[in-house]
Amino acid sequence: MDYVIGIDLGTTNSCVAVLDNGKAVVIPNTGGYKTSPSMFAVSPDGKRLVGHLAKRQAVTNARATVFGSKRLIGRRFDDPEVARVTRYAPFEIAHGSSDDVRISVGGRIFSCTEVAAIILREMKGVAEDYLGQPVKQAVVTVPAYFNDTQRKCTVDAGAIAGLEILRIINEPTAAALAYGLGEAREEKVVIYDLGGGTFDVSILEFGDGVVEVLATAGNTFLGGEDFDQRLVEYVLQRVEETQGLDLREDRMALQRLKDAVEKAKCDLSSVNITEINLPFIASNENGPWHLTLDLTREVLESLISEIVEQTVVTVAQCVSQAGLTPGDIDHVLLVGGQTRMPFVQSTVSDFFGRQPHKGVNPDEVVAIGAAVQGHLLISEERDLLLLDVTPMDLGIATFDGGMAPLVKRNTTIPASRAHHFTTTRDEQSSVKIRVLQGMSDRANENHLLGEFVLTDIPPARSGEPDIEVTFDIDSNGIVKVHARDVATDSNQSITVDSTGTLSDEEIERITRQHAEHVLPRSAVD
Amino acid sequence: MRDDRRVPQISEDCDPGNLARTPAEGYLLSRIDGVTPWSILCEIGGLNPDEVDAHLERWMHDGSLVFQEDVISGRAPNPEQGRGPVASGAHTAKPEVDPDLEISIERQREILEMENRLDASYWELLGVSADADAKAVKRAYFALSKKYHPDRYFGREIGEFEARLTRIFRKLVEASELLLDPTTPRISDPLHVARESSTSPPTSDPEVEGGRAVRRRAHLENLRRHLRPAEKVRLQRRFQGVQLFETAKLAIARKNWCEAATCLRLAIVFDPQNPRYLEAFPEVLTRSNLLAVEKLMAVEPLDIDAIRQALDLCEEALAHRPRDIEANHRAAGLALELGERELALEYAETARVLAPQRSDIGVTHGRVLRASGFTGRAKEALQHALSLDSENLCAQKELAKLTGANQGSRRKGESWIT
Repeated sequence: MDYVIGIDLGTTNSCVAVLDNGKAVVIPNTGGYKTSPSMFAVSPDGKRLVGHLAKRQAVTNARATVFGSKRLIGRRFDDPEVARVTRYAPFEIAHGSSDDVRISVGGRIFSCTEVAAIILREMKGVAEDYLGQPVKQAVVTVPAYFNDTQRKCTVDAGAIAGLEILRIINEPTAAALAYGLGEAREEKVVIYDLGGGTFDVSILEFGDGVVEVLATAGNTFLGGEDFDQRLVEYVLQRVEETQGLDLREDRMALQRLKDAVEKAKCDLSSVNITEINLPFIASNENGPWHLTLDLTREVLESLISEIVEQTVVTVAQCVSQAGLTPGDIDHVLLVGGQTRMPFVQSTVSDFFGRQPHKGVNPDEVVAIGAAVQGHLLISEERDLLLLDVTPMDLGIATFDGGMAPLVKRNTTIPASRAHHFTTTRDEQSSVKIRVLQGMSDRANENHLLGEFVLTDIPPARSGEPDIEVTFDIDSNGIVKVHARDVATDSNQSITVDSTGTLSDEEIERITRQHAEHVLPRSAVD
Repeated sequence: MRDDRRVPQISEDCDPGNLARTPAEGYLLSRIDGVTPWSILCEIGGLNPDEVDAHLERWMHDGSLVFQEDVISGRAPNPEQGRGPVASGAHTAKPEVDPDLEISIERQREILEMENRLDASYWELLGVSADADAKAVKRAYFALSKKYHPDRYFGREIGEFEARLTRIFRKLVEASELLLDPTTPRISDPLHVARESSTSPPTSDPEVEGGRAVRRRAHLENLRRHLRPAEKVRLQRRFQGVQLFETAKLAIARKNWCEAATCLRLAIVFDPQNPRYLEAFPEVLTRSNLLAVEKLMAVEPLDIDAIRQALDLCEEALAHRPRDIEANHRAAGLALELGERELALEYAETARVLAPQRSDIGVTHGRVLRASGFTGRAKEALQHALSLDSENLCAQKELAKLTGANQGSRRKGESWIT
C-alpha cells in the first residue's frame, strides 16, 4: 500500500511520521534520532549535507551552513524581520529576483524554497528507508500564522523534493489531531505551540469525530531562537564588559556561542545552574582567551520573561476571539520544544488556572498529527474531519492606503467571497487590484500577496462595468482569485503578479537540478 | 415606447448570454428582471432611450423578449412566467446522478437533494428546532459537515459533486455561524415574529435590536423564497449599492464630501430602500453642498446667478436636514444678498434657535433683522453676539452702522416694532 507521510518542517528541527496499521510511528533517521536539524550545508569540497551531518560541521563551516531558513521563506527582502535574521546569521543573504530572500552557500544562490525542499527530501528519504518503499505523498505542517505566500512556497518546496503535498495543515491543528486520535469527546482545547522560530496558539473544539478550529493567532517571528538570541546578546555584553572583547564580527565564535547557549538553555529546564565553557573562543594580548560563564535559571528567565508574557497576551486575544473565557477551556496542550521550559509551563498554567496536558511529546506530536491527516485524506474509513480556519484577514488595498477586508480571520476554510469592481474613468480597460493579507487596517503594514490586473474590460462609461472578483481560500489556506464580467457572464482575464515566490519555470528548472543531485543523507554515529 | 408600461422579460427558451454583444446591451439585459417596465428601462443607467428602444424592439422581434400581462390592468402576473433570466438558466440542465463517479449513487442523490434545500431556513437546513441551544446546533453542524465536507471525497473522482459539496459546506458554515451567534435570539417562527413585532414602536433597547436583526433576516429569507425571479438582479443592484456605499464611507473618512455625496446618491439609486444609505445621505449632502457654496462664493466678482445657485444648494441640503446650523446660517446670508428678506429672516431665526451661543450667527441674525427693519431687535442681537465674543469685529461694525443709522431714523425704527 502507499503511505502518506506527515512532515513537521520545523525552524530548528524537522520530524517525519506515518500511520502504520492505525498506529502512529515517528520515524527515526539512520542515526536513531526522531528529529533531524533543519540545517543544510555545502562542505568545502562541494558536498551537500543535511540534518545532523550539516549541524556537526556548522562550527567549522559557519559561512556555508544554513539554519532557520523557515524564518525567511515567503518573506520579502525588505521585510524588517529579515533584517533581524541577517544580523545574527553567519551565512550570506541575497536579494532574490522576485523580491524574495535567497541564501548564498558554497558559491551558489539558493532560494528559501529550495532549502526547504532539500530538508523535505531528507525527511522523505528517512521515511523511505524505514518503510522500504518509495513515498510520493505527504502532509506538511506550517505555523498557523503562515500567510498565503509562505504556504505556496512550502507546496513548491514539496514539488521540488518530489513529494505531492496533499495538504498543508497548521501545526497546532496537527497537534490537536494527534492528541484527539481515535477518541470521541466533546471538549475545548487550547494548543500553545512555541517552537524554534514561531509561536502559534489555536483553540479547537472536539465533537463526535469533528475537530473544529475556533480561533487561531500567533507570531511567525517569535520562538526559541529568540530566547537563544537574548542569551547570546547577554553573553556578548558580559564578555565586552569584563574583557573588552567584541565577538560580534567573528562568525565562527558566534556560531560556537549560539550552540553553547542553546545547550545551556535546554540544561536549565532541568537544573538551576549551568556553565558555558568555550575554550579558545578569542585571543587578546595575553594570548588565547577561554570563555567560562555560569548561567542560572533566574538569569535566563529574566532575559526571556518579556517574550513569554507577549505570548500570553496573544493567547488571551485568541481566547476572546473564540468567544470564550479561560474558564471554558477543558485542556491545555503544550507543543514545541520550547514549552519544555518550566517558566513557559508555569506561565501558561497560571493563565488558564489548570495544569497543561502531559502525555504528548512536544517535538513529535505535530508530525504525528500530519500523518493522521494524511491517513484521513486517503483511507477508506474517514471517521475524523478537520475544520480549519484562515488565520489572517484577506483583503484588498483601497486607494487611500487602507485595507478593505474581504475574508475575515478565523473564517472556516475552504472559504470564498466575491467583490464587485467597476471602473472610475470612461473607456477604462483595466483595473489593478492589490491583494493583502494581515491584521492591520493599513495596506503597507500587511503582506502583499500579489497584484492582479483585470484586463480587456469592454469599453464603457465609468461605473458601468460590473466585474465580480471571487477570492477563494482553499483547504491549504492558499488564495485563488478569478474574475467574471457580470453583464456578459464571461470570464474576465486576470494577470497575477505574486511576490516572493518562484515562477513555475524556476520550480521546474530547480526540480530537474535537484533530481540530478543525489544527496547523501545524514548518518550519525 | 417611452411611456410603455409593459414589462418585458426574457423568454424561457432564450439564453441571455447570447444576446449581449456590447456592454450596453449586457447592462440593459441585466436590468430586465420581469418587474421593471419598458418606460423605466428607457430612463435608467444613462443609456440613450432611443438605443434602449432599438435593443428592446430587436429582441422582441427575434422572440427573445416576451411581455408580462399588462400591469396597469391589475391582472396578477402568472408566477410561472415570472421567471427572470436566472431561473430560466438554472433549470436548463437537470443534474443527474453519474454511476461512473467514485461516490455511491445513494450519496449522489443525498447531495443533490441537500443542494436543492439550500434556500431553506437555517434551522431547517441544520435540521434543528428553532429553540435549539448552541450544543445542539454544533452537533448538527458537525454531523452534517462530516457528511458534506469536500474532504470526505478527497482524491476521488467525483466530478461536479466536488463543487456541490463545497457549496453545501459553505452554507452549513453560514447557518451554524448565524445560529451560534449569541445575539441571535431563539425563536420559533421567524415570519411570525416579523409580523408580530412590526407593530411595536421603534426602540433602541438592545434586546429588541437583536430582534430587529432577526426580523431583517427573516424578511430577507422571505424575499428569497417568494421573489425568486428578480433576486439575482436585486442582489446585483444591492451589491453595487454596497460598493458605492463603501467608497462613500472612505470618502467620508477623508472628508471628501463631494465624492461621498455622489457615491451615496448613486448607492440610493441602486438600493433605494437601504436605511443605512438614507440615514447617511442628509449629512453628507449638506456638507458637500456647503463646500460647493463656499467654492461658488470664492469666485470674484460675485454674480447674482452664483448666489442664486448657492441658495439652491443650501435649500436642497435643508430639505434633507432642516435643522442643520451651517446650512441655515448660509441660507440666511444668501437670501439676504438676494433681497429675499422674509426667507432670510426665517433661516436666520432657525440658525439662532439652533445655535444660540454662536456669535457669527448672532451677527447674521442682526444683519437680517436690520435689513427687515427691526432695528431694536437687530441691536439686541448684535449686542448679544458681542457679549458672546467681544472680539467680533463684524458685530462691532454692524452695531456701529446700526447706531449711526438709528440716529437718523430712530422713531421710524421704534414704530416698526410696535
